[in-house]
Amino acid sequence: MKIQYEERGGIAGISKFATIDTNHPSFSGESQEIHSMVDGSKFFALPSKTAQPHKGAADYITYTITVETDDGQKHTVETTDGSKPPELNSLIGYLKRKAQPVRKNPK
Amino acid sequence: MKQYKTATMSGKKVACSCFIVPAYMLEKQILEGSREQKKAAVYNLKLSQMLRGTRMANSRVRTLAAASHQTKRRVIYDMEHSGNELELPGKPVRYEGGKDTGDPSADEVYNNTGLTWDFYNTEFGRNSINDQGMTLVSSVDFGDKWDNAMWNGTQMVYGDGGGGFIKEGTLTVIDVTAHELQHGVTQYSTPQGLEYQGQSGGLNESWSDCFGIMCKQWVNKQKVDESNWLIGEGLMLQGQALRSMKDPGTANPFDGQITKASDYQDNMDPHISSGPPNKAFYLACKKAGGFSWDKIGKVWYLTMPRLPQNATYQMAADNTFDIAGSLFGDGSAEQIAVSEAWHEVGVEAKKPDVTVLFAGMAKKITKSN
Repeated sequence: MKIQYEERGGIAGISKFATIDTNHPSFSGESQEIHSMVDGSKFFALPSKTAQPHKGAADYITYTITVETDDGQKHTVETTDGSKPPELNSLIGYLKRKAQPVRKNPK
Repeated sequence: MKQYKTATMSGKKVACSCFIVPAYMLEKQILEGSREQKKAAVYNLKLSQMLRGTRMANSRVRTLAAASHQTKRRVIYDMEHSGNELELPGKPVRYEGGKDTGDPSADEVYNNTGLTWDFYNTEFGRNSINDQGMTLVSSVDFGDKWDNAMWNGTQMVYGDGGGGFIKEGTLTVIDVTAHELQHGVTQYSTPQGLEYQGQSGGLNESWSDCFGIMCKQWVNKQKVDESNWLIGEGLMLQGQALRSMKDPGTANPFDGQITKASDYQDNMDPHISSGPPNKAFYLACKKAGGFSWDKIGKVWYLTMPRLPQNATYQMAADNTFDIAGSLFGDGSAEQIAVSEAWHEVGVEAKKPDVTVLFAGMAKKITKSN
């Protein structure tokens, strides 16, 4: 299973990215946990875009997650703080810890 | 001049004949009218005085506004580290006038949202986020090491930090609470809000940084030359702050904020595209001198009702320029400060199209919240 993760926005406006490949040796210890978080979120049944945040809302983080299974099933979900389905909380929490930002300037 | 005789507000017919009602009638309405009438009257008085070029009209409005019923109301909730939005606001831990909870983030948010309310009330005659006494609702300890604070459209939400980029327990400082609260003020003070994308998204973010830094300067009694113009100083594990209004894009290693309008691109995050208006505000304040909220802050405050939901840098420049002229005189040092500031970030301010603006203001006045 492959996962592409991106988060952008939030008060700091920092974009962060993560790429997960459960078949890669570096994820072998976590492969089962990742699969169970994806299954637990009923990821492939979630809409590709969840409800928009409340009008006027600001500084929420926008999350874009793409999951591709070994048999080729692929789905992308875009969601935000304030509107994200609770089922995604543990998967997003995990991906957040793996994500790294892009360095924008050398200072 | 167009007239708007009656309009529906909260389902009631309210008199809303902008700019032609004598000031004394509006003042009477502020003191004796219903809540809706008060709101409409304060608004009309501010606008009509501003448009007549009355300098610092706000002081009179402020006195009148204070005479109507204005009470600060805060409630702090604790999310106990749940990141489930459906559980917001969480468990109430402190009401207005309540004792310290012992939880530093809850107590700091209580104190800082109180100071932010005081700032708007004292300097702009504003009665809370919606100018109608809305309760300030804040939830702390949201999520597991959530590196963020947000305005969700109805309340403020604070994480603990400690998630890898923000120092733990730092997200409740005054410029952040004022930044979040201003998002609510923007929502209620512009005719239809400012869309959170494109240049309007950048303006939305910028107005929050402008009022965030002004509130911090107000609390610390700092003049424009005494402030370092950093938003969220000391919050980041790497770098000095979240953003620099003086030098956009230099606050931390991940800071990609732009400075010039010509660097703008449509897909930018609002915290990136907020750079040019942030720098314009900083420059205008520096040129005008004194306290930021006394001159340029007033101009920025009164510009909000003129910004449509898809507002551009150009519209912000034109309207701040025009309002600076109304408040301080055409060709005044303050108006020149505003146009020079926008020029330095690549926007040439000119007189805006008045007809369009009046329609926008009328919409705001008749909007039901």
